[in-house]
Parts: sequence; structure tokens; C-alpha cells
Amino acid sequence: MSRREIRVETLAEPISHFTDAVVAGDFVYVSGIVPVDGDGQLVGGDDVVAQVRQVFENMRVVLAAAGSGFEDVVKVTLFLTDIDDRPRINPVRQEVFGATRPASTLVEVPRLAVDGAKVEIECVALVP
Amino acid sequence: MTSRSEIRVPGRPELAHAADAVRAGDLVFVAGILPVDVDGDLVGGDDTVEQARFVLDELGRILDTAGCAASDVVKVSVYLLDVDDRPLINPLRQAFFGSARPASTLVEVSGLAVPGAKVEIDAVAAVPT
Repeated sequence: MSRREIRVETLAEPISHFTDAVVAGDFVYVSGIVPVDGDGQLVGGDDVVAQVRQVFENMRVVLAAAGSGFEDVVKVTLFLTDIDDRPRINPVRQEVFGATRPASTLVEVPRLAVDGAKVEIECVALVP
Repeated sequence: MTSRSEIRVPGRPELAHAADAVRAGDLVFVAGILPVDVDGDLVGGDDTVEQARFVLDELGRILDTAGCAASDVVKVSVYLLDVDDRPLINPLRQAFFGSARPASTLVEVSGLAVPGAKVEIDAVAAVPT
């Protein structure tokens, strides 16, 4: 099976030994995305809705670089530092995915790798 | 139809109703690996680096059995009891993956399945053609 690493130069350098996404065959595996800008600085302050918008914007760029898009997402996994934030981010998910409904898992975690981040999202998508 | 085959590696503990990995088509899904030996005993004491070293060694053995190398890993998920341990295990990740960089998610969790374990890692790999 073919394997191709995707690295988007406009996004912040990965904080460890990984890349933004890897295409394997017809699938693209997108790394967990945190709400940071191109310099790795937190976006959205302590506003989880603004944070999740930044996460999805970064995800849109990564998916596009792989030749994929939100309508191709098969599975999404969301990690929240406060499970009570779930209803707040639902409208953003609806806005982003539109008529598409991916498989999904959402869990609370005590902490994420970036200080101040309240949400991290990864996904698997098809490359049409 | 995509084929499915379960992979068991000698010397691996039986912690749950799970295989070490399952190959589906040309993808290999590696189960979460904990720092425990074949008897289910913790390896590495309370040293996260030693625990992670063992876990990555086991990942290497499982990948090898599945016909993959570290450079075939597509995605890795790292679960840490203390997210501040992340910088400690970075050098091990670099050594393990070499010039290859998988997709990755790393989060802190409040507990793992084996008492004393501070790290668990699972992975998806692409079988080379």
C-alpha cells in the first residue's frame, strides 16, 4: 500500500516527531489538531468555540493538502478537557460538516499537549 | 472483499479479549500496547522513558510480525498519564521512526488498564507493497 506524508508549511511545526497527516492508499490519517496558529500560539483564548473553529480551519487545510475535504471524513475523534463543552461546539460541527455525518467519538481528557488548549480533534478521511 | 487476519506475537501478554493487531486489507491496526511483560507484570518501574522504550520495542515486534517496519506506520496514538512526560519520550520516537513521520495524536488520560503504567501506544500501519 502506498504511504505519503503530508506536511503543510503554513501550519505550526509539529511539536514532536510526527507530521500533519499521512495518506495510506485511499485513506488519509490526520494528526490530532490543536487550536494554534502558524507560529504555534494558542488561538481563541479560553473560548472553546473560537478554539474549535481554529481546529477545523487547520483541519480543512490539512485535508485539502491531501486532496480530501470535510465531506470525505469517515471518522472523527474529539478530545475535550471539559465534557460540558460538547453542546457549545455542536453548532460548529454542523456548520463544518453540513450534510455529511462522519462516525465520531468524543471523550474528556484531563490535559492536552498544548497549554490552554481545550479541544483536540483528529480524523480519518477518504481521498476521493 | 477486504481480507481480515488477526496477528498474535509470541511473548505478548493476554490482557483482554483482543489480538496484538488485526490486518484488514493492506492496513494493520495495532492494539494499544502497555509496558507489561508476558506475565502481565509492569516493565520499567515508574520510569516513563523505560516504559516507553519497552512499548516501542513491542510495537516493533508486532509490526515485524505483520510484515511492516516502523517507517510503514501511518498513525500513532500516545496516551500518557502525565502529559508533561511528552518531552521525555520524544527522543525515543525519533529513534524509533527515523526519517519517517507518522500522523500522531497525544493526549493525557486519567487512568490506564494496568496499575503503574504511564504510557500506552497504538498504531495503524500500511503493509508495504
